[in-house]
Amino acid sequence: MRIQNSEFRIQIARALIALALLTGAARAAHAELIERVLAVVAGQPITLSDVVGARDLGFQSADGASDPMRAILSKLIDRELMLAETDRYGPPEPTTEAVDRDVARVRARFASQAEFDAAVARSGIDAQHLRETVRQNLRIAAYLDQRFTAAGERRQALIDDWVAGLRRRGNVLDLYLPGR
Amino acid sequence: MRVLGRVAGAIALCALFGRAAHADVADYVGRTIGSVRLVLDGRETTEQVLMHVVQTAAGQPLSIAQVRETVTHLFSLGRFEDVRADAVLENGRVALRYDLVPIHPVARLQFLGRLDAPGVDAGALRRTITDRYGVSPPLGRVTDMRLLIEDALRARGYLHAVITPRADALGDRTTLVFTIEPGDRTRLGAITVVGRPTVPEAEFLNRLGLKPGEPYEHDALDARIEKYVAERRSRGFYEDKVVPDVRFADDDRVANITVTVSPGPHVRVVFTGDPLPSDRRAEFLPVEREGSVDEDLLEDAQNRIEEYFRALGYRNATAPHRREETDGELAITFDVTRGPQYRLSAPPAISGNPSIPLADFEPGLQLREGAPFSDARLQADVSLIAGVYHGRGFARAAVQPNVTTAPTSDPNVVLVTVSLTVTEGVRTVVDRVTFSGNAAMDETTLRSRTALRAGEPYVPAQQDVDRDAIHLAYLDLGYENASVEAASTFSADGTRVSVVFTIREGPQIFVDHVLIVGNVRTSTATIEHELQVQAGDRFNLALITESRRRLTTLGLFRRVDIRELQHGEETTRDLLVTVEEAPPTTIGFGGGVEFRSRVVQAPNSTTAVDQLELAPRASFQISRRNLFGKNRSADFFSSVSVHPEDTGQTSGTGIAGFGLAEYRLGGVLHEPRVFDTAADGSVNVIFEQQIRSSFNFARRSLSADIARRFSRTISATASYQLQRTRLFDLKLSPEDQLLIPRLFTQFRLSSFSGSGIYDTRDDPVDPHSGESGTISAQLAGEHIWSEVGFVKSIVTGQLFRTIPHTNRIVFAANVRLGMAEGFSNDGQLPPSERFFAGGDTTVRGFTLDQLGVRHTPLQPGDTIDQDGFSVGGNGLVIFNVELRTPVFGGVSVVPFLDVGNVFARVTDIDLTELRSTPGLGLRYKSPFGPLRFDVGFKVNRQTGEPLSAWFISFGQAF
Repeated sequence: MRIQNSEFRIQIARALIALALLTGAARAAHAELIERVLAVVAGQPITLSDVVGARDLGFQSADGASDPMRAILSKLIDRELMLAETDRYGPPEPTTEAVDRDVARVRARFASQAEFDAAVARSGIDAQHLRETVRQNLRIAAYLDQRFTAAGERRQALIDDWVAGLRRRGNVLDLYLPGR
Repeated sequence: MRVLGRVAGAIALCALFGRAAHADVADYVGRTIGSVRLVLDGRETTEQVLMHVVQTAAGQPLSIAQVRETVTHLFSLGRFEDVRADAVLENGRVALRYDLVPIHPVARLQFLGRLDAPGVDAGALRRTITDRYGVSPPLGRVTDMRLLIEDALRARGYLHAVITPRADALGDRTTLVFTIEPGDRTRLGAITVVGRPTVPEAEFLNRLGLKPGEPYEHDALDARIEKYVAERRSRGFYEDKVVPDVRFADDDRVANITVTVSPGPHVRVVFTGDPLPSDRRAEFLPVEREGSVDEDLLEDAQNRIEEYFRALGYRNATAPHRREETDGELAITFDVTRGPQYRLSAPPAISGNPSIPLADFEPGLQLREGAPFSDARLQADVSLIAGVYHGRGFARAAVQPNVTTAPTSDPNVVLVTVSLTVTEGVRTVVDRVTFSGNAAMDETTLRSRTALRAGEPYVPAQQDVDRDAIHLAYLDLGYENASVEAASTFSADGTRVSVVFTIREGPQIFVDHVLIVGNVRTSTATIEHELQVQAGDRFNLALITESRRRLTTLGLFRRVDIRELQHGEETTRDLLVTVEEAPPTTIGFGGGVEFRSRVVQAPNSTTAVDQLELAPRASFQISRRNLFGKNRSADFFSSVSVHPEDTGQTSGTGIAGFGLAEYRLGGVLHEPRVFDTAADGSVNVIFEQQIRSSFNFARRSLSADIARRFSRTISATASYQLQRTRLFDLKLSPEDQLLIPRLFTQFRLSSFSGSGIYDTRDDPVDPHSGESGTISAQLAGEHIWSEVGFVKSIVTGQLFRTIPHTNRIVFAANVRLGMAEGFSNDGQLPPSERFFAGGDTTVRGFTLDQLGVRHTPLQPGDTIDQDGFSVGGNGLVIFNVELRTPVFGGVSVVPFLDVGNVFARVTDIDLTELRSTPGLGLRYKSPFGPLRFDVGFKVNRQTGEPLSAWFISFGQAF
């Protein structure tokens, strides 16, 4: 009986190991979502890799939000709205030096070149794309400086009101719906 | 147990291994792609349109940038509500799958949760959404919809409602579910009234709907306050104010309201003194519209009244106001005093202008002798003169006005004399124009875009125009972020200036992909043909706008939108062309009854009598556009009317009733880019039968045309025409019968014709500049199934120039030469194909077609017969010149000289036989085009010829 019991245990154990291996293998074969459109702002899509890139390269942060994806996506939507306004009014083009300086700043966030390369590869951002993002950010900043001359919290409150207005008027298709 | 423990450990390890095997995106990047599949609604697809935009390919390393581009392209096609890219490792290679979820329209809106809470009305919430987004709202707007619902509930007193949206897909339909947790409803607590309402407080609160314990609904409260105030204002209490102040308590469950009431006095507005036009008083003083009588509003009213009178020449007009409050009533009184009217006794005297003659200012000056004087007009004239000087290089020119007045015997009139003294200053000449920062365009190209030149007058406004022109040139090359700055440096004495255009080019943008969506019936090739930009081209906004215009002009689409899609990359953009097709078939039909009086032959008699006819009419038209998706179109039109039978017209039975039918059946096929060439073609077929008083006719015609535009100014056409007309029921006098062959081709005419056109006119209807030239030729012959043969050619040239330094007087000239030769023995053409002249568009001293060579006695080669009728000829020469002189408003006076004649043969053309007819015309620029009256007079009038001929018509003579 003891032997039988022991064999039974071994059989159970083998079955469980097989199940576990199968489970592991199944997980290993599970497809990974690598890209998706999360929002469209004035015709410009914002994708999953845009959100990942903005987070990994330090352009946007989730600020401890319970749904980091939502938090960063919302900031990217606001950024796209601001960029559209910036393009309308055409502030001064940033200098090459300013772009170089900010690109270097992004690189400096990473401990090594390998880490930086991995981050840009993960988000599909090449050197040209990175420069363009930095350039756009500088243009937005220049526009905000032109438009909002107040300082401190007052300035931020004015910008927030302005962005809220852009959101109300803007053509924003927000596709990030939990559960979908 | 030890075994079970080991098993448990193994399971944990495997689970961890499993997690470890759950790869990160980084694990796929750079690996070779093994396969790429597109899965549409669960099924693999190889649809060409979709495969075309996929940027990832088996055998290549995986790049997230390419995946992103593919996903955005697929999404931009507008067919999918979701596009996902999944990756999995298979044998060390990446199996890539794009999952495409077609747009599933929201078929249903559902509200769950506490819908039984008071004031929560699911129907009203549904309407709130459908009013804004329609019955099938897009899922992408769900966040906005949630905010709308929150606002709606807040208005009902639920200040902290929580709305949770969810999309439930079932098959190809989606139900959008909003779960509503309204939370606590805020209710009114303490209500305090500050001030004294004009009605008892209880009634006042009742009218505002304020009662402790009732729900706090701010929108409803605001609406009731607005209604109360509007009612008070309509009774003259313009300054009545009711302001609520809400303070929340008990975690916003209670709203304590303080209502401050400022009743304000009853307001009465009085105008004394000189009369004001009653219909403009509300415009001068909009107290009721503004709901205020504050001092700013009254001062504005005073200014408006004074400006009104000053513009009429009452230079000293005043309208001070005063406020007087007595017994709770506020009287506002405007004392209007116009004073005397100032009038100009003479035109302004302009001096100090040796460099620019008076004639260059005078047409635009507003101050004129005898007209009312106003300072605004004076200032306008000063600005005009200064502007002319600045435009000619006198950058520092100034104009000093001096106004002197002289009273008259009439105390209500003062005469004004104005002198304008010009201080010209130095004339600044451009020393040099240079460019910096330009790499994409060389200096020669940039100079061709600018008008400022060394040695020419310096005009600051031109400098701005040149800067914009350079900027536009860069935009055309795809430098969409280019900026151009212009700086000018003057010499010490101000006579010379150096201009530098500093250019920052920025990156050059190219078109990466052109995505075309929305076309179902229209072929993609048809759309691509109209697009002026293709993949690989520079990103040129002007060409994109032109592409949009061309697509819209096709008439195939309700809506055309061309949008740029940005890549992450700085230098490339995709173009998304979205079209919404219009219905391909249009049908029109109509019917009616025509009453008309017609001359017919009396029964059993040869006399003509008037007969009132009643003729039923019907018409039908059908057009089909975009046949076979190639932008070709076909139109078929038909109309028929049935007229009463009359014995003279038909060989009918004499039975009273309906007889001959007028009909017109036709079809047109338009074929753009016929045979894949740049030419547009059309084929027309017409069958018609028409009734006239003296005859009837039936006509059959077929024509085929090809037209090609080589450039904006050069085009050519070629056509084939087959036509025959049959006349019947003729009841004409012999002399009238002469006109028939001239108007109708009573034989089979088969001919080819072609023309070349050069046209630089600025306006084809009423040109002010440019030239046009046309050479056309026609060939008919028995070998091409014609019953007559001939060759005919017409050469026309026109020139239009606006004469400088005049009030836009246009010099217009026209020359027309016609040459023809018949293939019959006598070389003559059939009458309908000969040249005729005389009339409103040829030689205006002669009535229609009555110009020709005549001798007494008749000679061979004369084109006027012994009865004075023109027989037409094979040669035609016409010259016209006009001076189109604007007078006032849309009226012009046009002196003209027409010279020409019609010759029997080309070899008979003799310039000494040309007839001259000077004349005078009037033009009125009506909304339908120039309305024209011309009268021409014959020089060297011959026996039997009337002195003149006159015409009323539309359009210019040439």
